[in-house]
Parts: sequence; C-alpha cells; structure tokens
Amino acid sequence: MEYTKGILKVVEALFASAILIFFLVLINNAYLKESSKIDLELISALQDSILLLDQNGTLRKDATQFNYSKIESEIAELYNHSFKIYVTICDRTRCVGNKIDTPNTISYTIAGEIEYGPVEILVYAKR
Amino acid sequence: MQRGELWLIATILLVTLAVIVLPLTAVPVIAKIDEFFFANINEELSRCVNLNSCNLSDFVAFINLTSTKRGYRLNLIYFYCNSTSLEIGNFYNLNISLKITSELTQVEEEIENGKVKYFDVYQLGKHLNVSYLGKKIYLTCERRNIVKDLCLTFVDVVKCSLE
Repeated sequence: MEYTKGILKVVEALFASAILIFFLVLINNAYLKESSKIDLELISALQDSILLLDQNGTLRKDATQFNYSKIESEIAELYNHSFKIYVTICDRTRCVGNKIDTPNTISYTIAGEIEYGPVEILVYAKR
Repeated sequence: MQRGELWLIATILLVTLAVIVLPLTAVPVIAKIDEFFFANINEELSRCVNLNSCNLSDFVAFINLTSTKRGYRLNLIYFYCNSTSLEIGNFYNLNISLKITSELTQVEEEIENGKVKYFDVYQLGKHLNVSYLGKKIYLTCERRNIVKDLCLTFVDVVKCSLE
C-alpha cells in the first residue's frame, strides 16, 4: 500500500513538473525568442539614418510623394550598403513600398512641409 | 517542513519565474523602441504647429492610428494657442474638466474625449493658468505655442511627458 502511494506521488510530481516546464518553454518562446531576434545595433543605425535624412530636409518631400525607393537607397548609402533596406510609406488609406518580415523595423511619422499629408515611414532592415 | 509544502514552494517559485522574471527580460528591448517612437511623435507635434498647412487635431488622429497599429495606446491632451485663439484637443481617452484662469477671467470647461474646443484669446487673456486632472500648466499666447500632455502605453510600460 505504502509502495503504491509512493509511486502515485512520483507520477503526480512528474506531471506537475511537465506542466511547469511546458509553460516555461511557451513563455520563453513568446517573449525571449522574439526579442532575441531584435538587433538593437541595427535598429539604432536605422533611427540615426532616418533622423539624418530628416535633418537634411529631403525626407519630408520624398515621403509625402511616396518616393520609397529614394529613401531606401539613401539609407543604404549611409551605411555603404552593408544592410538590406526596405521602406514602406503609409498614409490613412494605403501603403506603398517594400516590406520584409523582420523585427528590425522602425516607424517614423511625419507631416508634409508644403502640403499637409501625414505619413508613416516604416523602415525594415536585414544584415 | 513536509514534502507537500516543499512542492508548493517550488511551484510558486517556478511560476513566479515564468510569469514575472522571464517577461521582464524583454522590457529593455520594448523601452528602446518606445523611446524613439515617443520622441518622434513629440517632435512632430511641435513641428506641426509651425507648418501653416498642418491641422493639429487631424494630425493627432493620424498619430493615434499609427500608435494603435503598433500596439501602443496614446493618451494626449494639447493646448495650442496663438495671439488670437486657443485650441484644446482632448484625446486622453476620458472626459476632462479643466479650469482656465487669467488676468481677465476664469473659465471652467469639460471637454469630451475626442473633441476639440476653441476659445477666443481676446476674451481669455494671453497669460493662462490651466488646471486639469490635478495638473497645472502655464500657457502664454503672445505667439504660436503648444503644450502637450502625452502618454504612450505599451504592454505595461507607460511613458509620459508634459511640455
């Protein structure tokens, strides 16, 4: 009787451990795996380059004209084409440009200088 | 201590690790992205004021849209004035009662969520003290000026500024 009770306790403990490990793996996948794909150095480079383009004064005009290829090449040139850059420009109703599935993405919202037309510039990068 | 109690303690420790410690390791990454997005919104709102073509409330609506798309929740109230008019836009996700005091008058107003109200600066005066939600701001309307109370929430990270 004591022996059976002991085995039952062990089985119970194994089940409890299995459930806990399952949840740990699940949470680990949901949080850590996603965040580990994020390349902070690359994101910082994208942020710096978009700010630089904005300061130079061409970004606002290009964005409101949906000239995504020009923005792509300008950012790539800043880093000697060491990253692959994809740009999408969205206004309220549509998005134009290229996009890839990567967490290394930044969003930059601007309004036009001459004609008001707010747009969101999404920059995706891949090493 | 009995074996049952030990199991209970071990279970609590593991669950704490799973629910609190592991998700917290993702927070620095979130905060980093948040900061750039937040600074961009703040900067663009200030710039919008200086563009003749910019419609502030419309721009806030657009920012709200982009914030929602990225999973952020935006709470914003702005006070924009020039020498003739004062515009208050409430996008704080709650109705806000505010009191405007100046050398000329004292006004109490309630602004519904998502609404914009306009006031005549000639009647209000150019130096305004505004209080709302337990906060106090000072606004001078001799030239174009904007004060923004902006909060961005992402997961449980809240970032606010009042400037």
